[in-house]
Amino acid sequence: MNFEKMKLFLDLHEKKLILYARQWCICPEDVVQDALLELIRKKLNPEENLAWLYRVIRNKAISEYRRKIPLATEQHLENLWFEANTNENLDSRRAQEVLQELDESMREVIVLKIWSELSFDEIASVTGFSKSESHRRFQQGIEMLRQKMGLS
Amino acid sequence: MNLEKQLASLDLRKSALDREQLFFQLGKSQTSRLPQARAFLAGAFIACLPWLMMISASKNLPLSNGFSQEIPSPVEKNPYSILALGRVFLETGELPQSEILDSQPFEQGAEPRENRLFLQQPDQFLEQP
Repeated sequence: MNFEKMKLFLDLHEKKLILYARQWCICPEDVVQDALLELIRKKLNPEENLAWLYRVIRNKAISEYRRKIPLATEQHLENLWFEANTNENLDSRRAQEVLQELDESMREVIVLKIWSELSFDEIASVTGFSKSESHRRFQQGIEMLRQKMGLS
Repeated sequence: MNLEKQLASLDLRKSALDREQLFFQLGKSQTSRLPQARAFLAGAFIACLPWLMMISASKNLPLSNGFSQEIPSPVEKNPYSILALGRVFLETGELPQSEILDSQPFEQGAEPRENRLFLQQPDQFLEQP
């Protein structure tokens, strides 16, 4: 892994990794930074070990969440996931609220599928669900989002 | 446009990692092989040390001399050494005449001349009364 490859990897995945960690903690940058440092120390190729990297981030973010007091609603709202008003058809703030109302496992699968663009095989290896279970939770989550946003 | 595509089109919030630290760690991990190479070279040198000492002793060279210095030939270093005389003997089939030794009187009780030839330097011998 050279510097140029690492730079390209960060340009492509930095925000996605941070969004994934943001589901659990208010300082997702620290968690992702730690996970990337661990990856570098182990001399792993990030592109080939993307699922491993997400799993490390997941473990670190969840342990961070458990160690600290769960976020208050105000902090959750301040902890924005998306840039404001980027989509005319969908309010980013509303999308975040609805996602946060979802069951954690469904939200996690949706984030990994839609923004991280992982396959269901990779999602299964990150979350520990089976491939079919991951797919089922994704479909259920999308359906619930549609209902909550009044799109069905 | 379905919901999945609409969600995917949302721009993720800008966040920045400490890239300097990551690149520093990356550089560090790439240069961490140097200590292993150093240890290997040190081991190889230690393993070769007896052989080097043997070579050095056989050539009558001081160990403190660096290899960059020109190694003096046995004849230049000590014209009356065994090696120098041996080389002359191998080339000519005769031992060189040593007028210096022959010109000195042979004292009674002194070592035989042949032994003195090898044990004493000519200069030291000349300084003796």
